[in-house]
Amino acid sequence: MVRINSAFIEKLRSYGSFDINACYNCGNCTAICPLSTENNSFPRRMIRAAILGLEERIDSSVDPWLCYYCGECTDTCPRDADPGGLMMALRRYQIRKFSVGKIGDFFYKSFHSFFVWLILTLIGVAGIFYFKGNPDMEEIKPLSLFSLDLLHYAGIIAFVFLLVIVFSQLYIMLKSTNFKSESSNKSGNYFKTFFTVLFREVFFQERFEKCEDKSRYFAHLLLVWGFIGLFIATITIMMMDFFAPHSEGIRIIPKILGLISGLPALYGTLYFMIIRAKKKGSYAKFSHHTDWMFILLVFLAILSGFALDILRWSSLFKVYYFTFAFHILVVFELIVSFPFTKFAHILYRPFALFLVELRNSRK
Amino acid sequence: MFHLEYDVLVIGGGIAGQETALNLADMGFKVIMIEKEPSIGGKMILLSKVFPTLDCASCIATPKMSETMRHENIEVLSYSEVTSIERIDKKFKVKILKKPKYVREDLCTGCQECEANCPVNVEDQFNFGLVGRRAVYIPFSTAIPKTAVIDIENCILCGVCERVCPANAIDFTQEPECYTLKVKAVVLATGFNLFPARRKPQYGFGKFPNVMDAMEMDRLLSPTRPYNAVVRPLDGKIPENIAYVLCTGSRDVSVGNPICSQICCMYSIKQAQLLMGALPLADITIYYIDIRAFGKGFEEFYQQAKDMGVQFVKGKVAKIEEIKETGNLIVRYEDMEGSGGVKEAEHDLVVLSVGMLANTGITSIFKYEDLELDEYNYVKQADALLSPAKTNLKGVFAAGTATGPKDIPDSILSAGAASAEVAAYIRSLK
Repeated sequence: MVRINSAFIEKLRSYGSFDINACYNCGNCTAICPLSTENNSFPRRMIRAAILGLEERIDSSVDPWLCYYCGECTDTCPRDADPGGLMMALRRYQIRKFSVGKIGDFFYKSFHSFFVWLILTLIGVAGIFYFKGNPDMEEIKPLSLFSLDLLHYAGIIAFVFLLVIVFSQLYIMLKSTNFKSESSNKSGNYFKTFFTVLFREVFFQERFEKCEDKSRYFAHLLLVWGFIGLFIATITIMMMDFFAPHSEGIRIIPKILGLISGLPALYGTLYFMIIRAKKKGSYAKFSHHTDWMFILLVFLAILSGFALDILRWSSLFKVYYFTFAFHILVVFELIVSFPFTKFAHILYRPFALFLVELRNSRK
Repeated sequence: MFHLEYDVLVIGGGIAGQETALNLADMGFKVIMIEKEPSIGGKMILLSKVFPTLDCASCIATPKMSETMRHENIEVLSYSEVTSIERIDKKFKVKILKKPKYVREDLCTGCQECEANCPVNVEDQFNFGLVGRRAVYIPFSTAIPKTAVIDIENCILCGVCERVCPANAIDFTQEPECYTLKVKAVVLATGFNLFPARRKPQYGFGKFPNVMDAMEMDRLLSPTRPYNAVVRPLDGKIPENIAYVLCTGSRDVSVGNPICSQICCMYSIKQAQLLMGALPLADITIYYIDIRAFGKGFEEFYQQAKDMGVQFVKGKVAKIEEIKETGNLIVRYEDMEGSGGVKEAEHDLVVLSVGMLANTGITSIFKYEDLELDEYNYVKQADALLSPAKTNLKGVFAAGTATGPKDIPDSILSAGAASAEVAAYIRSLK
């Protein structure tokens, strides 16, 4: 039996702007949605659940992750209830809800967490200089500031930490969706589904492309490709450090890859910063502080990365080392906080699509 | 030709205006009626039948129109507009502009000889573009006054009509005439505008030929219908599967009209029943948000449509797409009461049940005072419960849909209320 909980909507209110109680259930949002299908129809189902306060129904739904917020439902809603805004709010709600040990609360409660994060970075930078203090001022040698070992150990610890967090959070999500109990005996093809989702939805963002605004899709695709490139470049360099520490010549390849991947990523971040600042379209009308936090962190990471490439050829040694320390820490923070911030959508969205694909393939 | 002093000025010659004018005239008041179109009748005379009785609309409207025209206490000025109303003591000074018809109404017999010979073809506004008309034309077959009018903007001034007119009624030398007259009271019976379906681009009205609005469908069903058959616009095919999209442009904040039109449920049900008669093999589906069958006999009328086999589907149609090859249309909706989820259905004709918008042209004519409007631009009723016809201006009353969406019975009721209030007001002046 479910209990109606009218206070639940108030709880959701802090995650976004919407006036969902205005809804008169016409179904326009679901029918106008380019992604909604007969088997997976949203957002009205979520709206009903939110109004009635069916918390379990919302926690167990992957629908929020099927939406890319093109804003058509919001623009055409006859009651100005902003269904797209509700779906966005539910994604924020789920990120916080599924976060291990309520770490998400730190980021989602207020914008201050961003400043705490930045101040921590600056303290970290100061700390590095205080303890290490004597970087090579004759020639730019990044590793004279950090010892490679420190970097690698931090990397490995972060990797293990994230691995545990990621799998626990995916498990939390899987458990709350009741996926096991609802699925039939027929087992789907996990590998096939996994790779289908990986190629179609992660690499090519096929669902996103169905949204009306192609420039937003394009910017996001560039951002994704930029990130993939940067990820591969970083991993390659780390691997080289481990397995081929004296291969100076070959290192230029992942470095060039990193440089090339930085450009589309920078374009993507700038694009989203601009449309959010200008409040262009219903998608960017309301920005939660976690949206800004995520975008700004990514922007700072990419910008400081580019600055390093430029400063390398200058004689501003102090600036270079400061930027280097800043860059490393921002990237570290971005990665460590990823399962608890908006960044976590790269986890939940493909996973939700994977579950839906699997469910559909079993039918 | 007419006096310069009247008791009452009625602005608008639709059903509410006629009813008010007739009531007052029967009480002995001198009434002048101003109608901007070349014929009185308003929207009702263009309809097929009325709900919920399925009475023929013209059979009710035409006698009323001719009675209005012939009543000794009513003067009708068609093709005229009120340009200003100024309060002087207890009376109003009214300025009227009579547009030239280029046809002498006193001579024209309505023989249509001019129409038969005019070489110009333009869209017929009284048939909502379904058919054409001439540059010189009689508005519609039941027009009153049934005299021709020359649409001078489209006229090529060839002079054929002048030569063929057996009554010598064509007069190209006519000019706009201005009159000033005094009245004791003013009744605003200015009616409403239909929601222009183009403002809802998701429905493709104006882009897809087989998407029509309900007024066009009412024309197709009316006794004076243009094709004498119900056919779809693209290819003249007799439709077999017709969809109705209710609440097009009403109850919709996104087009700026959040209120219910109060008529689109019922007229769609009416048309569905008429179509069942006209096209016994056709399937008819009505897509609705809620069916608001609130009036006397309305619920029974709705049930009757259901019993006749009209399909009712709960779910607002979000968008309509055309299949290029066939001209058929795909409507996309959420099937709420059925199996759920988004559904797409194919229809060969879609009728948009358009809502009502306020007729806002009236506000600027009052000199030195402001007519108060409500938040949806209808005339604000000063006391909607106790004296529904009163506006914020003393001596100015409103009837029919000028004060808000109404169906025909309610419009006539409100006209009755207005005439009683006007009569009481004028008596109180003495």
